[in-house]
Amino acid sequence: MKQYDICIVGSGAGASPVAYELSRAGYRVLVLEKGPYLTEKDFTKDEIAVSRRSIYTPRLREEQHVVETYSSDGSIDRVTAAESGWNFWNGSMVGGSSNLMSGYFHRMKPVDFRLRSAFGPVEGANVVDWPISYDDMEPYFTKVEQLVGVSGRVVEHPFQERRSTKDFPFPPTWEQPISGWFDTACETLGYHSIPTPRAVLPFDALGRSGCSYSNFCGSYGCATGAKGNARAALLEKAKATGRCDILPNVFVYRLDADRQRVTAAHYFDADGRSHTVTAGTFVVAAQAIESVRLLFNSRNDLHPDGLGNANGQLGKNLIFSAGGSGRGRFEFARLNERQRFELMTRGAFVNRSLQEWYVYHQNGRALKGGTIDFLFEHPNPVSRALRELYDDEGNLLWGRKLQARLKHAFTASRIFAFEVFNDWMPTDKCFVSVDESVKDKWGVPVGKIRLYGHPHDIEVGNYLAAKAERVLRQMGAVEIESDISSAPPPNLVAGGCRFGTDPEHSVLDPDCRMHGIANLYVSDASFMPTGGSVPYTWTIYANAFRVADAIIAALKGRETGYNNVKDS
Amino acid sequence: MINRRTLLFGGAALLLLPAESGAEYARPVTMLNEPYQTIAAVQRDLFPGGSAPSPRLLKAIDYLGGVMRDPYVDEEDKRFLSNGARWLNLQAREDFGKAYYVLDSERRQQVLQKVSGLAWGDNWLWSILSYLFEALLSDPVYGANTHEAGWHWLQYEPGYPRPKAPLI
Ligand SMILES: Cc1cc2nc3c(=O)[nH]c(=O)nc-3n(C[C@H](O)[C@H](O)[C@H](O)COP(=O)(O)OP(=O)(O)OC[C@H]3O[C@@H](n4cnc5c(N)ncnc54)[C@H](O)[C@@H]3O)c2cc1C
Ligand code: SF4
Repeated sequence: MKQYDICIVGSGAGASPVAYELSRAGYRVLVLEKGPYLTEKDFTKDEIAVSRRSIYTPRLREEQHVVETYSSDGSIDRVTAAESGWNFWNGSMVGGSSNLMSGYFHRMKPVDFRLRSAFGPVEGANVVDWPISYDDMEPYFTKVEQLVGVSGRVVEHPFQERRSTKDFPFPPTWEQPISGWFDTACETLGYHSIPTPRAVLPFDALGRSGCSYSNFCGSYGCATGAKGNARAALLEKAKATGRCDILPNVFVYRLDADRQRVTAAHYFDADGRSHTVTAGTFVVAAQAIESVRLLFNSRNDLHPDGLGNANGQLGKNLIFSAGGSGRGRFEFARLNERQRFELMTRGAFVNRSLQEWYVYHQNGRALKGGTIDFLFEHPNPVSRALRELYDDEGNLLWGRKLQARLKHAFTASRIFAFEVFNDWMPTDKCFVSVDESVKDKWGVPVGKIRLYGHPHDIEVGNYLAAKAERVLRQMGAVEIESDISSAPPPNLVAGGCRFGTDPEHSVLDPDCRMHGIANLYVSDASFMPTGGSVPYTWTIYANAFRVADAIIAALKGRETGYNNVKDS
Repeated sequence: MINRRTLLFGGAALLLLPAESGAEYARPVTMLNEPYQTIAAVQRDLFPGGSAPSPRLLKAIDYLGGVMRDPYVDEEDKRFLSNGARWLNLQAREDFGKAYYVLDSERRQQVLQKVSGLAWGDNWLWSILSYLFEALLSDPVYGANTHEAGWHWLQYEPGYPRPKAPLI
């Protein structure tokens, strides 16, 4: 059997920096991924397969989750995903869901690392400071810009974070004319319009092709390699070292551990045969919910409640990106010919966001706000058509009325949208565990997700949405609306294996090594005690590069220094 | 997840699906068989021709046949499509003494109006329309949206690269 120094479970944003750094540092790396190995030539813009039938995620009757919610009287409602269709999978393939992301990238800001000190406690929430600071992470954010490829342009604004380099290594991608309308509206309102950084290469670089402006970015795999997905950006390069093996279509179902070390990983191959691998160091990066599930399912006599759960912390403080979305319609009838032409420009990116209210003040208190990204409605035509099925009174339409409405929506108007990202308060009421009574197709207990959104998140989300709506109104949009709710976006999930200095209240140490288990690291978003008010992936990548350095330091018998930080 | 056909086009997945998933998605259905006879009539009533491409041109009923064989569509949803057609006919018989598809157009509209006010009916019509929209707007590799008629009607330009074969 081939010997490995490092065995990594999962191959997405949290896994790939570790594979990249360790293989380049001379270590032998094995990546185990439950999904297939798809590359640029496999990806097309097929709405039926990708969006309507979700071919990149498992079929729910074979692999699912149990979802629990609180009803109004406080009792728990339980439903299986196979019954409800509630899909918490995001993308099972080499490179994980990073293949499907839109690539909106924002760094977390210094204040995100000390939420508790900066804003004090929130009742019913477990807000803490991170055990590391923005300055610890900054070099890794920069590394991601350079290695994964982030395009953008730094502009001055009230919440521009400190940077060690002057600007992005790549200029912004081609922009929509409507971005100019947005800038003008913001100028009138006194807001600072920010070019949104994107994990998209505007031209050929880093051994990958530039963006072809396919118009179908989010939810779709990239056929050029321009998108900074984990496979194209990092895993292919790790593989090229000759020291990184990637096994697709293998599902890791258990880790064996003695008192202080993981000794083996067990997986099923595509034919359902079980295999065992050994390695010196193990890294779990299967996305927050599945990483926690694996650690629970790895319980043994020495770790009866699951790995890393001696203090009952495993799976706790699951978080999502709070907020929601909104939209307004631009009607051709209100525009001149040039504006219509500009509005219908296709393929280019809007690339605009606002962070004006990253921290804001209300009733004499400082509140943590967030980020608003602006974009056009997703071009998926079937979903767009479905949005027109009901009239304003909620009646189902058909016949000529429906046809007229469709025609208008597609040919005489265009929807401009926004997404609000604010902190999801970590609480005792939102967590992951496993459900012994529901098994997947391999007979392994599935993850159970208990959902709870703190009212504070909705208050902040509504505040931000009102600001975004104001911009849309200023731009001349009509039918403006937003939906802010505690519904979790399954694709923006973190927590469950908090890092911290105190083993009583965390699962991982500041290096993201499991407390008490010397050779086990968790490098996906599970480590995050709070999520920042930005989408997570830049932080996941950056932290995984930091974890890679910590693993190399440990293998060389060195200290990283993070573990000397005092609990705050 | 990916299927055998993608394997032929360079994918490396090993998932095995029923043989028919590789065949043409919208191959002709036997029109006299239920639920197709009823659903074809409903499609015509929900989405009449005229300036828009007709369900017949779009091969919407053959496409629905593909949906009924599609391993990615839940069995429960397929059963609902069939049951809905049965319930619609029960309603038509109750109100007018005949199956839906033999009623005149005014009476068919009355039946549609009535069931759209019922929970199952609203859901069912929504499902029928959503698969009809798939026939209208999917890539013609699935066998519907003939000559890209749906795309032309809505001046829609697809994303590239387009699929060379159905992925399901
Ligand atoms: C449609 C969409 C749009 C998005 N847009 C953005 C965006 O604009 N900006 C942003 O910052 N983020 C975005 N994201 C989120 C981003 O993709 C994720 O934050 C990121 O990929 C998470 O990284 P990860 O390593 O935790 O998980 P993933 O990248 O999902 O990787 C986890 C991998 O582990 C595998 N796995 C799971 N269980 C096992 C097991 N037991 N054995 C073996 N393998 C296993 C999975 O198959 C998967 O491939 C988006 C996501 C989606 C789906
Ligand atoms: S080519 Fe550009 S727009 Fe298309 S998926 Fe890749 S990065 Fe996104």
